[in-house]
Amino acid sequence: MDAGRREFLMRTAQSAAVAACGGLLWAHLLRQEAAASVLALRPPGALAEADFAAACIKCGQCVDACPYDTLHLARAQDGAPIGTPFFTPRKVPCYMCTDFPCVPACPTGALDRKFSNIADARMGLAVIDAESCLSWQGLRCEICYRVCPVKDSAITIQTHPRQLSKHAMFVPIVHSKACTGCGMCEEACPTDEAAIRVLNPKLVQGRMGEHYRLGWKSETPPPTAAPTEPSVAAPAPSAVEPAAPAKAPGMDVLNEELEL
Amino acid sequence: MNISGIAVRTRPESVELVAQALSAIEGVEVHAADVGSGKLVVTLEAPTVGAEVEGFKRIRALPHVIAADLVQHYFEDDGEMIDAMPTDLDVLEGLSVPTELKDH
Amino acid sequence: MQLSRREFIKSGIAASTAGVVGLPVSQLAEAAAAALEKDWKWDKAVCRFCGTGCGIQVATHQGRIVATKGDPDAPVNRGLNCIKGYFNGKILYGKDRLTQPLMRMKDGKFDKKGQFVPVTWEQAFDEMERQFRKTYAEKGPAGVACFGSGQWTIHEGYAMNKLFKAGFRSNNLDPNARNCMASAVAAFYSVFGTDEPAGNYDDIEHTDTMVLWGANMAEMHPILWSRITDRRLAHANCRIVNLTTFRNMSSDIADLEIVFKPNTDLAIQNYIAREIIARDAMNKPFVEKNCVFATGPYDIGYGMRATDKYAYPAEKDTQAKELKVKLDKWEAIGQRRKEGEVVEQKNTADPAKHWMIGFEDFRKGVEPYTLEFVAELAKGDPDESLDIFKNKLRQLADLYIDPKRKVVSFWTMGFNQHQRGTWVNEQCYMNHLLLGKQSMPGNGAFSLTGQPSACGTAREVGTFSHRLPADRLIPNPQHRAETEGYWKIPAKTLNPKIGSFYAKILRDLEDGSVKWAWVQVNNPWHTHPNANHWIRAAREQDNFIVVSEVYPGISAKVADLILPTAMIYEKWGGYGNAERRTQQWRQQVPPPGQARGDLWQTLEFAKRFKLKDFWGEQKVPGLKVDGYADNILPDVMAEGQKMGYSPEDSLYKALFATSDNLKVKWPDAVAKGHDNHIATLLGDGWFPEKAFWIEYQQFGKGKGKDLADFDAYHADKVRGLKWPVVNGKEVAWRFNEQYDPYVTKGAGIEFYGKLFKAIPTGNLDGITDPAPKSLAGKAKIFFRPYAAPAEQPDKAYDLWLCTGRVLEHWHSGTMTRRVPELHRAVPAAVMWIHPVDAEARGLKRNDLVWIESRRGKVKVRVETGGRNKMVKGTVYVPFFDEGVFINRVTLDTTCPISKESDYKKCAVKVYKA
Repeated sequence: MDAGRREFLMRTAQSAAVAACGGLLWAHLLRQEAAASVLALRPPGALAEADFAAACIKCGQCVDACPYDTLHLARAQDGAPIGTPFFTPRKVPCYMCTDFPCVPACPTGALDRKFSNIADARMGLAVIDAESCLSWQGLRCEICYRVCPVKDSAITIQTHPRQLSKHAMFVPIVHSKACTGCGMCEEACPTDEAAIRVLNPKLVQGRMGEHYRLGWKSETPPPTAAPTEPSVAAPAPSAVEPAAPAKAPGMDVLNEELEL
Repeated sequence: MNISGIAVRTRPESVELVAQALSAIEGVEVHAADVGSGKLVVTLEAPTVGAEVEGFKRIRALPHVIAADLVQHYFEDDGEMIDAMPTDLDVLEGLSVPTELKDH
Repeated sequence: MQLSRREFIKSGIAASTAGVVGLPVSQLAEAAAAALEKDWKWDKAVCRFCGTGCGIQVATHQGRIVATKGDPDAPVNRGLNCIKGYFNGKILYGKDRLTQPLMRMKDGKFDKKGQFVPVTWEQAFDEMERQFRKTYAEKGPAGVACFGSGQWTIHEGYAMNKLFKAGFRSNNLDPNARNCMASAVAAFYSVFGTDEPAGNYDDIEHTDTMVLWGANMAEMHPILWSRITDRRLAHANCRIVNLTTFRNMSSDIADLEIVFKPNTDLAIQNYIAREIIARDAMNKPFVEKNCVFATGPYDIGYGMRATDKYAYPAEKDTQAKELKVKLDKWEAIGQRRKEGEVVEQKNTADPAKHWMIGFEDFRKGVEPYTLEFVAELAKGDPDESLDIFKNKLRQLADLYIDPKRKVVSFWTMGFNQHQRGTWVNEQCYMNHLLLGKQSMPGNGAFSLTGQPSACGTAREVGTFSHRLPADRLIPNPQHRAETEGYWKIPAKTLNPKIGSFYAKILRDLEDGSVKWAWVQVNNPWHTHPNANHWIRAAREQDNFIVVSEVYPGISAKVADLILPTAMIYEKWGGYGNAERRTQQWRQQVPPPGQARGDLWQTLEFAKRFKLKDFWGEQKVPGLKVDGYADNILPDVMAEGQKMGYSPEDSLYKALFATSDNLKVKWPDAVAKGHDNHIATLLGDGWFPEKAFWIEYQQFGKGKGKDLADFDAYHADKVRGLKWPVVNGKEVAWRFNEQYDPYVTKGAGIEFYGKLFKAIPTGNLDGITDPAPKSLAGKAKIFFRPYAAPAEQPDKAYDLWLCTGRVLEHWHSGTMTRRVPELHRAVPAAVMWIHPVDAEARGLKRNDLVWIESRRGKVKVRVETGGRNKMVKGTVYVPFFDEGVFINRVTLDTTCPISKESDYKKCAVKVYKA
């Protein structure tokens, strides 16, 4: 048996020990696979995941075009459908070439041919784990902020007093409006495991109710999602009163027999 | 190599004493001791199954130990374990092992 | 933490067992962590990096540092660290740590052209000694030199200072602090007559106006910056001004950002002074009681060589400015002369001389610096309108002058690394003194330091070529005599001729006048500007260079002998920070392999020589001092014998392991179980660090530089003490009667510094009465004019280059680049450039380009975004990266007074690689 394979099996054996039974291990692996395509980060200009998966012919042209070896074709163990391009920011992030050679290299349009500005890329969204982020704990780190290629719009620093001493905290905040998901922050993060990570926004982003605006913000932009139904303008009151309809709201309940 | 995970019960006031006694047994390591509930979590490591059973009996026989339950058992006989694995594991399309597990 | 496979399996089993019986897994983890930390030993120490002086706590286990934390009790940082401080513990454990002496060898013998081969300490010292003796026999005290450091511990600097000056009778000892703080020092001397700031960091919480002059504190003093930011956030009335030559991160919080052209800070300061007078805002009672006015010569050159013999052809036009300067329009107006006049630089030999002038002369001096003149000269951003810039200057003057405002001015390398660094420092005091806003809580000009012990070691111990401990100077006969007294060495042992300053030692190596040099705790060949010259000098001249190092940097690469050295927590030590706070620590872990402390190396080397090798008559070319025969340092051996010394005594015995010092015993209770590898290796039962402390303490006692006892700094509750420590009490604000016991009772404010306190009298054009007049107790308000930079962008080299640091890396990166996390964060230096400048050269972000000056060129990647926003016409490259060796490009002009190099301005061109 070759060493690599033996190694692989040993690792698997360890996880078996933790899971305490073999069956659970397979279940775990299968679950991992089901989530895989949600986790994969795609090149800039990629279509929505379902469309991308349909359009990508796994030719590897984008991988060849990338000057930084950022992109790789997924193998069995990479957590994405085999042969599709993806990148791992902690290893090599997208350096956001202004001429994005990977996009025109795509023969099928899985990477959108209309894509024109690298700042419009939405490969993912940086998310900060406040518990392990040094800056959130009060240290002067902010490396993610300084390496961010769209610094001051994708990541900003909020300062506020630290309650414990006469020092201020410099807290990095990610703004989804501008974050391209390039992952330069995740690559540079100095903690043992990156405290800032790029993820598919779907996994992490919430959405405020469409009905509400933050009163203290003068121009709160409306939530980004399109309204589910087209709104119909209420008719203007007419001078001539129409005839009474056969039914009116509230009738059903009002006409229910009351128990006496 | 044999390793067992054993849950030990005692009265809350005896937790410290029992933990000390357990630590004194060869191959035993106390991983958690909860004074509130009187529960302890230990692992027992032994070269053979026979030695392991012997150790387990010693734990049960300790003063103040109300109960000792064998919760987990792990044994590693390299050849046996590995041969039990399907040979085509890593070439199955769509089946992947998380990188975290591979990094250790 | 790497778990072993077995531990991994066990913890997995324990976790699932815990789950079954309903115990939370986190509790299990906590229990595991507590068990792990059970045997850790925590002790206080100091951060290894910048001059802020943050306290840290170090945990050790089985001879290794296993954890560090910001010290919650340290008043400087209250438990916080920046990202460099966070990794203090990791700098010791880089993979390529040097652990064995390495020497260039061929056929089993030392050979300058040989390859590095591991040797024993014995072999290393043998060759070092042989080479030293050869050079000393040929050249005497002037032929040997030492590059010291503001990162030396106080004890290390003290020992090497003594070895060179008292032992070798050579003043060719100069620290890298020369390139960091010398301009600040020169101004402290000329203005106050004593070194180091009056205030302390608490000024931040007392003031409501903070003005940064050439100090990007957001990156370079991260923890102080968080204090400043906190003050700004908590006090609506607080204002922060950032004066800089390009937009940096300190602008993010600033209320007012003023981007000016290089060197025009000289003009802006004079504009403020002019406004103070014009608005009748001068604090007359303060000035009359506490100050005099002064000025000095303008024609002082740029600190370059006086000859172009060693210059590359392309350098010659810049070099020529050392001798003659043709005044441009701005200098002509600012110096009240004619445009185009060619001024011979007549005062390069004595640029520091100065004389008293009257207030009317001073007023006349600043008169040309009107808003219109200064705005037109100084506006640094071509895209900003002149009106907006004028308005900003006016606001700056308003903030300084507002009688309701307290003002603190902060500066570091923008002022210090400046062709007129001393002048611009003096000008900052000028405005604070004119307004009477000095030496009071929240009011004062505050010179920050760059290195952890630039103050504690380089300045206080006086490891400069012209200094002796505690504000004493080599040329001053009384200071030499006092020092000889404390050191118990014969009169006239000390060499009265100032030695070679840092840049000069490199020039001496180039022209062959120095042939033996020892480098400790710094990296001259990486960090000194115009590096191509010095690299060639080291490798192609017949000389011997010893480099004590911890990692293989550029200086180690050009060395002939590399000595593996212990790092900060591997030895006992002490640092002094920018607010006069002295902090000491114990050895925490042993050094790896054969690595040994610098102090041990110095002492072991001293064992190799005898008094008779040095205390006889020595030739010192150029020595011309009253009381000495020309070019001769007298024989003092006979006098020494009368004092009980024998010619056969080793320098180790005579200077270090003296009978007094041998009484200071190791082991000592203060160690609390900590080891001392140096005491152990010396093996003669004394405690060198403590003995040197006791010896060194004498120098400052009663002189305004009092230090506490050694054990006081090691007391559990103490987190450093701000000197002078008088009767166990620190001094928070110097020169202020309320806080400083040195001020005469009833004086209120008294500038009691003793240096340069009797000077001639004259006017703006020169001395009229050479008789020195005393100005005891007073500070000087200097008039200094605008002077143009020696090299400015032209058609061939069309951009300004500015260099400096980034937050993530320390100096030449030898330590921080060994921390994988910091390396990953900022793996390489980049060149920040304005996007329009990049586009004009056909460049885009990440392109590889050449950046080239008259002196050399390097390849670097283009950055148009990120932390620095350049103005058109200026590029910035940090110097930490030996792969982007930017000091091949920089210019080695210095402030002629302080001899500090200017890294902030030279002309370059940029083109695609």
